[in-house]
Amino acid sequence: MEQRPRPDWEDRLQKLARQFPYPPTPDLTHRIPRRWAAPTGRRRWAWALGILALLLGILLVSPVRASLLEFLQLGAVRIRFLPITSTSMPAPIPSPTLIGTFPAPISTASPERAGLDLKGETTLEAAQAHVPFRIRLPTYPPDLGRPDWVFLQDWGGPVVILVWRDPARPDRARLALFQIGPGAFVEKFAPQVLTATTVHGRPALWAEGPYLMQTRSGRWELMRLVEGHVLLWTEGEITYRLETITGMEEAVRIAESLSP
Amino acid sequence: MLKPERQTPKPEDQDEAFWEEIVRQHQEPVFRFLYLMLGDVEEAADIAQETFLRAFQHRSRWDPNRPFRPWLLRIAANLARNRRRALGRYWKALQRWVRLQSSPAEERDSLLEAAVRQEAAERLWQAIRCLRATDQEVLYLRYFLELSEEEIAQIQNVAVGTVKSRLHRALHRLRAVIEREFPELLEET
Repeated sequence: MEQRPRPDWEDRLQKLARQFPYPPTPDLTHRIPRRWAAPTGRRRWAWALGILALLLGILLVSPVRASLLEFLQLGAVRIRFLPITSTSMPAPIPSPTLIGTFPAPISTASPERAGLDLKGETTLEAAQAHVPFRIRLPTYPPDLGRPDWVFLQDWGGPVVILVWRDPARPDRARLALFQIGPGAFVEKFAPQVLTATTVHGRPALWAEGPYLMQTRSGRWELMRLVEGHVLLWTEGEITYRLETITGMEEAVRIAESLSP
Repeated sequence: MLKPERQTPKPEDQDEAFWEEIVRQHQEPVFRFLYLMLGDVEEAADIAQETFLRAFQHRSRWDPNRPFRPWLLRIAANLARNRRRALGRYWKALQRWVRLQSSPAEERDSLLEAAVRQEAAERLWQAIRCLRATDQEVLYLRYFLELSEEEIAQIQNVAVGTVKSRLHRALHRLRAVIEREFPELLEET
């Protein structure tokens, strides 16, 4: 319904808008679960864990895995998989692959090199004053103590990075705990190991791979702080990411020791 | 031009099959609007999916005496605004990194070629994306989705008069951007 005369240029605008080359609309009916209503409470977690385990099973053993799932979202962290194109010949099943693989070398930061090359170095107290959530520290292992380095970064939302030095090899970090606040968004690439587990009975992922982080110069670089694996889990609005040189069971134990 | 909206039953008469039909019927305008707002196919599909789930979860809030599409697009617009705010600089940096670092050389070349071959409509989109988010939203709804000012008022939960002023201001600013940076858009016929 028109209520005022349209200048010529508005007609031109309309004409151009009609020529806009939209990408094809995906069929969303296939992306939305058939059970519309979400279960609640404990049942919801059991349901989510079951689905997660099922999806991971499919991902690891089925040739149709990526056609069913192009990414997995856990809190603020999204893991993308490369959609498999259909071929007439069955192919060997590789480990989960990814889109956006990076030709650039992935760096593992060295604490000895005048501290970590990460933007936002601060203290625990200063970081706490700037984030809208309580920064939690692991109480396991008992000798862990306070982190050796604390960083505060903005990934679309606040992210606190706590790093502990490896006492046996001071040139390496033994543990890095990311506490990713509301609004932050993380895209994870190159997961080479992917296993479903739980932290306090809630779904968690055990994965391997680097992350995009901001260096002191302000550049974003793909890096990991610890030469090991990563445990991902969420509690409330916070997504936790633990980089550790330990195995999965030990990582879960550290995750479940966060205070309070 | 989008397909006209069909009659929607009352919430209590709706079942899963009905909601699947709702998705089929409205997914194109919802996806296109979100694509314009977010500029990324996968993001638009994600938020479109979220839009339908939210609509289902809050279906009791919809007034069956009013058209369904504006209500749905209001949810989509809110989610898109939140998404844009949340992603911010990190997302932009990530997108730049993926496009420039991860693309094979030939893919980068084709991206550059595509940029050179941009159609006028895509340049218009570029011009609109120079504007503030509120201006973009009202222009997409009016000229790309071709909604009436009344429908836009329902989506934005404002008076029709407010939509008129927003459109007027957005058009004025767009005109300035086009004259300054995309003058060929005014010359083409």
